[in-house]
Amino acid sequence: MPELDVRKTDRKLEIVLNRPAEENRLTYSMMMLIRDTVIESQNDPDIRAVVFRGKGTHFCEGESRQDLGEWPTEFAGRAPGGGHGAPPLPQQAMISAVRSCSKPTIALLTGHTSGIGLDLACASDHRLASKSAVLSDGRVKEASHVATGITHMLPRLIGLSQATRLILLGDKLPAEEALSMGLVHEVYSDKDFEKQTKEFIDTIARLATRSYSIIKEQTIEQLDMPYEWALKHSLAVRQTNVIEDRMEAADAFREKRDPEFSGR
Amino acid sequence: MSEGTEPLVFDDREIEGLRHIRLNNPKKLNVLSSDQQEQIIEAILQARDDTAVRCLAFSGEGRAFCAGNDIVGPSKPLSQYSQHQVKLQIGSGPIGLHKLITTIKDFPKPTVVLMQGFTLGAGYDLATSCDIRVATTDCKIGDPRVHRALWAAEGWSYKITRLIPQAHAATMHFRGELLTGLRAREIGLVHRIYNSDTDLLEQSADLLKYLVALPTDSFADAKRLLHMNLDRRFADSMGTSI
Repeated sequence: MPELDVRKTDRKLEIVLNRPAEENRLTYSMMMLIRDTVIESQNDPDIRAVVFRGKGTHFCEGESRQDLGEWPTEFAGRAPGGGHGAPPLPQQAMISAVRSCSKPTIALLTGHTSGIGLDLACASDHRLASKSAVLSDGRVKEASHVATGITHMLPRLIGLSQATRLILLGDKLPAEEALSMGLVHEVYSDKDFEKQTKEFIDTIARLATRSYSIIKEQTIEQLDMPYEWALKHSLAVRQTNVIEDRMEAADAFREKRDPEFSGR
Repeated sequence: MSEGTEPLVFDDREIEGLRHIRLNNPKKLNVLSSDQQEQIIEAILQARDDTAVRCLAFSGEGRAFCAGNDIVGPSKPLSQYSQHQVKLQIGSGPIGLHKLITTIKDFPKPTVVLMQGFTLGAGYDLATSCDIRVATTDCKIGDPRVHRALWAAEGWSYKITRLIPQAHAATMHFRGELLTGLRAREIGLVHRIYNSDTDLLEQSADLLKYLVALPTDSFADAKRLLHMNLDRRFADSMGTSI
């Protein structure tokens, strides 16, 4: 069985973490494959949603504890050893690719989401949780580094005060509480999770995908810009993208029907 | 637990590894004078360099954690800030308090504040500089300085929009409304709340013991990145995380 199960079905690319016996803990090869898959998905106009999920009970408990596998060749020159252990380069490469992916990204959180699993969820656009899901980051407690993007992303998602609770205090957040602070967008019962997340994803996959990408690009990148720069950035993004679906949207509005977007 | 008449008490006895800074001027609701702020800075720096200290807690005796700066008492200029002195009848300015809240923010070990009664002005600045905020459900928390036509230049404008969603800043700062502990917990500013009639230190003992036992280096590293990355672009944050 491959560690990562990648399926393309009907507008969607599903990336399934497939190490259920290890709570879907990530290895280096999984990180590199997720990074490559996400980057490639951007060139495929048929893919209109990228979904992350975990096989079995848990979404992802973190990175592999016992054996992360072989250090990726591309980082061969960048010291895997040292007193602090290997640097988090493969982890960062994966998280950066997911965060800047131009396609809509959705993380389906079941069971435990922890450590790098929380980074992966936070780098995605939408987080849907099952009622029994728990979000946490145990890395401080485990005396390991927290250097994979979460310290940048989480304060912007929920504010520094609540981010402190997760990262420094190590609180475990039940799905309902994560929902109330806006960290997850929907919570569904465990029984209906499969069905209701499918509806959510299908709705996303029928949106005008290029329009979505442009809005996402502005939002994510402008988090790091002063206000005046952001306005200029918006102008540049607008002037360099063509959204074909605009015509369909106008037609559908005139004809009083739902639009059928191509995603281009 | 109140004892002695010193307006500031530095206690190490309650929990091993905990340095506890108690404001002990309950008759004046623990308002902070410039001198006291300097003493607290000194104590924090000592605790920073003392490897036996693994967590820092602040609390106030009596009806309030801290009702703010001492705006009634004599506001004498501190010699080390003489170059910042403004020759107007508006006190010493925020320089001393700036140093206090920055020293707390940069403290590389867990910082906790226990709040009951009132946490206002300078007390609020102190509290929002700590990692973990514990309050009673009815504690009044906020910044009423707008109502006193006072400066409010002690860093809240940077911190509050990063600690909690920006929308709350208008209520708390433009209109100077006070939050209850309960409401502060709802919007995420406070991390733990307890009933008003309970002893906060007793209630927080488990939390404090937990924080004392955390791996100190790992905590320091995560805290440093969390604060540093507030001002960094994502790509930069990745580069500096190694």
